[in-house]
Amino acid sequence: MSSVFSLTRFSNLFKEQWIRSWKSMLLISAITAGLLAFGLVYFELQYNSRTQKYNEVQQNVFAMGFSVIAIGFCLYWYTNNWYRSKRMMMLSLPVSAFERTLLTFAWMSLLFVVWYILIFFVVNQAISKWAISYEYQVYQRSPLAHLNQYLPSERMKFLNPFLINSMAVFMLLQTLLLASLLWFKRFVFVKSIVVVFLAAICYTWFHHSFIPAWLTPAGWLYDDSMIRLLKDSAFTEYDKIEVAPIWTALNSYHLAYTWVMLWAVIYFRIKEQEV
Amino acid sequence: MITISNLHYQYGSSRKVLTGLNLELSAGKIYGILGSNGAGKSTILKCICGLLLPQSGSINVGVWQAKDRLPSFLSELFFLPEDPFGPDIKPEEYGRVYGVFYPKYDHILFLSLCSDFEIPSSHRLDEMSHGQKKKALIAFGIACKTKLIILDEPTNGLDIPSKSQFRKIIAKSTHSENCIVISTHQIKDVENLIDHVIIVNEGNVLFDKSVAAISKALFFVERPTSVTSAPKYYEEESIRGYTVIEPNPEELESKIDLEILYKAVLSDPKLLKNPFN
Repeated sequence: MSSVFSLTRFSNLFKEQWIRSWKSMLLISAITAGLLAFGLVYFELQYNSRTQKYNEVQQNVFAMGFSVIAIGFCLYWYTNNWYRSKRMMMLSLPVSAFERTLLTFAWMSLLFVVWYILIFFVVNQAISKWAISYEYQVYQRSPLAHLNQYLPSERMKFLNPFLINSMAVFMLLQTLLLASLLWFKRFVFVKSIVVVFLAAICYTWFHHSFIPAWLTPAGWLYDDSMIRLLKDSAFTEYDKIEVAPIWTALNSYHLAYTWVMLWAVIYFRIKEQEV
Repeated sequence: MITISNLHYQYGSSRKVLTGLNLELSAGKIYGILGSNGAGKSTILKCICGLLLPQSGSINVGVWQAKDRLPSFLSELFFLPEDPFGPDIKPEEYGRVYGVFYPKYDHILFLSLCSDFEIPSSHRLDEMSHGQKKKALIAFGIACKTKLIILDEPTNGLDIPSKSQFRKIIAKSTHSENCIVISTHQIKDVENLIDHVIIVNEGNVLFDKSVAAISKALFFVERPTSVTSAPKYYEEESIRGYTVIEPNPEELESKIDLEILYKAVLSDPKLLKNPFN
């Protein structure tokens, strides 16, 4: 049997993780659904003076929810596998460092995304019915105020550049958080949260202030969206303006490189982890 | 089976725990590592399991290097930490979920040991008391039939009947191919169990002898009064007079008092070197 990867070992490890986590996952799912439902209803009511707002509310709540839940999920994963006596159990299990890393990747980057989209989809199915009828009622109450503005909101499409870009950035932050949690030995949580917070500030400053002000040639538009290949109606007006290609490409690729690099860091930290 | 050479380990940048430790452990024996709190017992065990990676030196366990933590190595090793983690599942399920990682795991043996230890099968491990959880994990460790079983303070938290049950089970599980290492500071609990004594202090091995060799070289006796005329290595006042460690030129049999031996070694590590030369 290979000392790096064995499907039998990995499936046993995955099963072990599932049995140990499913109850907590149910609880986290309920909390997530509750938070998303609250967010969707709250922001819809906040913007009730305008119609068609639910189209934007969905996207914003999805992205905000993703950032918060991704960080929360990462902290949960760490405490469930690498905190105190659980770390000892994790390291004593007869599996390789690669399998431990792959398990972490599968849960954090694959299962988590599918799970979150599924929960959002279910919650949004229910809330959107209410939101659309609510917007219609608002319109009917004062049609003059919304004259020629009313078009019913639609349910969000998940293959949408804004969402994919947000998910990519927040997953990068989630991966950075995990790498930090595994990197530090003392005051793990505080130090890791500070690292992620600083990274988020630096990223925002670099892309929204530094590049547009200093590095984008005059007459060009800097587009900080990572996925430019996906054509969408949201980009119609942007397409009229020329996008500085070098910085757009840099943005996409350096996010991807950083992500791969962080997973390499996670692998080596798991390999040299001590109790 | 286990060869530790020139092992150095320190926590952080300054707290040196092991400084050039050398040790050899062979199969078919039960080793008792004795030492006071902070002596380095748990650090040695964790280094053997690959849970701590030493700064220098090497640990070979059979054909493996402990620091590599290869799955084949880990599947031949069971480690019971002092404060083990018990997931929120019942013992029977625990055996099924974790047993698959160990090729020689025997589920029927595990259930029978659980019943010997009187572990409530309807309770989840995370709901169990410290002692019950430990007993369940000891039963699991024995059922894994690994070549190396390492138990860190296994009797801590065990009630009196369980301690005796523990000794019986461990004695029964020893065979020529496996090696059991028990670290404890509760010497009395393992007195009749171990067949090799290792005493460590401040990260160094002060004493490393088999029970047979100790029994041959030393004579443990209770004397009503302190004897000054006869030769002795160590003497301590006890309820019935004095417990004395004397030379044993005639190789008479006596019951080894590990506590006295431990105190004697700690009082002067060089004291008991001569009788074994």
